[in-house]
Amino acid sequence: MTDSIKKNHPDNYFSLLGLPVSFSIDKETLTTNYHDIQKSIHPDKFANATDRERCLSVQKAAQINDALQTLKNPLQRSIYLLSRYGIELGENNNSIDPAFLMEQMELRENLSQVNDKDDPLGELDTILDDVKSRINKIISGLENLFHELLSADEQDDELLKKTSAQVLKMQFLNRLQEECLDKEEDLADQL
Amino acid sequence: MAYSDKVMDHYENPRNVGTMHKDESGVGTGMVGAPACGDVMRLQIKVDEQGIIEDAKFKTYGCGSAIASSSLVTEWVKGKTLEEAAQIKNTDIAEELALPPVKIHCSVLAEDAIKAAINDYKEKQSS
Repeated sequence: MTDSIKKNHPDNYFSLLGLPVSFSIDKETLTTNYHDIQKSIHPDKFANATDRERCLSVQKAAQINDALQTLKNPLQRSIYLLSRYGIELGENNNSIDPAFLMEQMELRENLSQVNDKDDPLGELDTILDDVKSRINKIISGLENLFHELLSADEQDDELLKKTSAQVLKMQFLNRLQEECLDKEEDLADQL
Repeated sequence: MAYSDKVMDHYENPRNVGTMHKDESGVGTGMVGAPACGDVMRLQIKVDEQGIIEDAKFKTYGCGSAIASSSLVTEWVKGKTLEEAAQIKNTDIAEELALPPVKIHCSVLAEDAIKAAINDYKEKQSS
């Protein structure tokens, strides 16, 4: 597959929703376009249409939904962009920076000790803020990395590797954020 | 999904949980992680002058199967030579713990962890 096909394939989620292929997206345009398209293919409009047309409109609606779910989430969006370069992030990966894993370990440790603190919810908030700011830092880094990747004439494997590494980190941090939110619910239940 | 009795046993009574000082001579540290489930695993070995693993410790944040896999590996490697420990296969771990297919990656993580610890020890010796 050539690069131009990869970037401009008519079936890709970005063009489906009328957006340029990019990691940085305008959320407002994304949702406005989504609603406009859903309106235009609403089943009511196909009351007098043939079965085939009706079927196509249902398929299209499902596709548009998938596209929205994928593009509105930064992690899913970046995994999708990487998949367009043939990169699949596996379950196990030995290429993760040990220092980063060490940090994850410490954050997990702190999270597991929250219950023993005088102010568990306050402590949890501090951890959650920390995790969020780490995620945001990665997201702004990814904006640059993907911009470079997508504007390159030829596939840059080094850059792809660097980008994948950041996406892997975001995956860890997202999981950690979910755990923090679960913990928050547990703590709230105990109050 | 129900865990096997062996997984539950290791999960409820994990063996050899703890930390060794990673800069201490004779200590090798393996850090691995599974991004999709967010699991992080640290497995450490202490190797004596004869090249035998005299002690092993682990700390894992993750699901029951990941904890059980790393706990089991620390039990298995004690008293083994580095070469023997490097032979441990994820399939042995999965079989011993009766892990279901969706949890096989936890045993892979534990195999990666012991290999990483052995490599770390060897690198430290050669430097």
